[in-house]
Amino acid sequence: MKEKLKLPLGEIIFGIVLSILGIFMILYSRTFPKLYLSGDVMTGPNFFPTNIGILMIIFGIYTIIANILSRKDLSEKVKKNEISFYRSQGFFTFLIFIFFIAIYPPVINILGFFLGTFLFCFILMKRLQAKWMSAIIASIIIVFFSWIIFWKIAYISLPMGIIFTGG
Amino acid sequence: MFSSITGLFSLKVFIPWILAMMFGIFVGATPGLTATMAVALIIPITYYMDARAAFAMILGISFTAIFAGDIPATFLRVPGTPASGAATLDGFEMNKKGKGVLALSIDLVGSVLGGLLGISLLIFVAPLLAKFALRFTNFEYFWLGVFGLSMTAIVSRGKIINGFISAIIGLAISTIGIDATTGYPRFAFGNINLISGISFIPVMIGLFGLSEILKNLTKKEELSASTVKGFGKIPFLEAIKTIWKYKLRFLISSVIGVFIGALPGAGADIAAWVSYGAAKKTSKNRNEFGTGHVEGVIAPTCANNAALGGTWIPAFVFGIPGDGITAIVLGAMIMYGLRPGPNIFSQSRDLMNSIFAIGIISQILLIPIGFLGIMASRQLLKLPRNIIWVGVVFFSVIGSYAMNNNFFDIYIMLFAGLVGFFLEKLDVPLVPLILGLILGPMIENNLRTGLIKTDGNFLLFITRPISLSIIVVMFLILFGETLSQFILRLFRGKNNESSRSIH
Repeated sequence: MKEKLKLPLGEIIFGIVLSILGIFMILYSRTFPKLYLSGDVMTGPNFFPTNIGILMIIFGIYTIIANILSRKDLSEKVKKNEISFYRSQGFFTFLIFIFFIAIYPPVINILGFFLGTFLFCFILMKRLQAKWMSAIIASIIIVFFSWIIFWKIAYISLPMGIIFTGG
Repeated sequence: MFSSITGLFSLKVFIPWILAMMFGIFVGATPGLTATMAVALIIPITYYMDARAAFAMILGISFTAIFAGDIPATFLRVPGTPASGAATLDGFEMNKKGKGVLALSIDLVGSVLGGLLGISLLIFVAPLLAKFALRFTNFEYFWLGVFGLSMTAIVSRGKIINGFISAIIGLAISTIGIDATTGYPRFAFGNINLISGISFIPVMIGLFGLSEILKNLTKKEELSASTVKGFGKIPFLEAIKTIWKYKLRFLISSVIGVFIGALPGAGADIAAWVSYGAAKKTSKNRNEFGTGHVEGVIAPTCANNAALGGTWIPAFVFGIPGDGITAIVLGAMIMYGLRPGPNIFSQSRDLMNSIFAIGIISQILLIPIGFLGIMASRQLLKLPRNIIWVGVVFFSVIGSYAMNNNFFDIYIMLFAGLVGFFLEKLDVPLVPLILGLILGPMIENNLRTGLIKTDGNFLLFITRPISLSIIVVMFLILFGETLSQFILRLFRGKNNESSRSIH
């Protein structure tokens, strides 16, 4: 059977992103002010980012070319696994976790640290099929311990929530 | 001398000392809370105490916190403190093989021995080392940064190009924020949170901790099973035997730790990485590094605790802080009756003797307190995965926030977690990114200041004796083996030719 060859798209996209970031760094660095000392131009704030930008472009182009030249042998099994990952429950859970971390700051600003953290932990534990009682008890313990460590011992201020403090 | 030691066992010194060390375990094992933060928290309490009690608390807390940072790094791949980054490599790999407790026991014994050596060197060679460290200028610091970054080639597990890409990404991130020379905000895009730069703690928590959990979520694993398998008894004797077997590694790593610690501004985290890189390059078992090899556990842990001893050398002798902890304590030293300077050892002999004794006894006390910490975390990790994973995610979130009381750091951590997840999928190692981020400012600022000093002439960077020595050592570590093989091949080739001509 003829082996299927496929371009490693992930790696090529990574190379393109790296090159674009490199170009952006160089162009944006040009807007930085120059450093003058006794009338002479010295190595200013753009010096380091420009050089890093150049390296990013070089390595980005290398990644693209190297991956185009070395096409991957992709068996049907691997291909199926890759596709099934993005359609799997695991990937959905992955997205839920990211979403919950992203909304945690605004949520605890509104609901407060105690309620917001409890809901954060409880919902994510339930998503991972924890038992009701275990999820409730574990969430309460996490809230309590983090409050003791961060608020009481480390004096880190935690939001009490707009709905409880009135703004 | 004897009275300075016995005085340490009075209740007013010993009780706060033990409590501080226990607190150090808590702080170190909690991602986002660092040893520096722990010291900053107890300084106000120490103002009302005897100077010996104050130093007992400060030294005790810093030693335990640095060790305890390795507990979540080994069990969960979440570094508790910046100095524990290297423990996420072989320590975590050993844990995956069911040897997490052994890894931590070796880690603890290594920490204690490394710390003891660090304190011993502080006692015997402090003034000499401090004088040498003060000869470091921008040129030498630049090369020291490059030396640290060159470890990328070693820690990249055969993926050197990908390792360099990762390091460059780290260097690029390090340019975000106010430029140290001109005060100009770079790549901040008007965002006030970016002006002060990207703190590497949320990045490290995201890259190693969150990305690991995200990776686990995509695997089909039994969610109600325990997180860590194969606990058993704490193998204290096995840990001692292992360290004894690798005694040379312990010695070299500890000396590297003390030396880097003695350089102002370097610190335990850089010491751990440099030591790990040096161990990987020079070990007979280099191919096993990164797969759960004990030498990969011993090298960074000995170095980071030994570095703590080293950081006090310039602090005591010249009043120059070696790291964040000594920077905080320097301000308080006068209150404790200490005037840092070359005469400190003669003017405050009693107190200095007590401090040295505190350093040594703290290391001995670290053994039972450290084992208590391991046992406590062992009990915790018997909980099912679905609870532990959520707990880790939550502590990653709140730990990132806690660094600067800033919600923006949570988004930095989330972004770093996603970047880490995808980079690992692309086979790009994560460690060089952290090296780039930590060493970027050191390399850039010293390079630019050096170039300004020399009017753009790079020659002075390579002609100064210490700079040249660092370059030679770096060259030998990176290419020494290839070079020696090449010379050997050349030599054998000539021998073969001459033997053929004889026949």
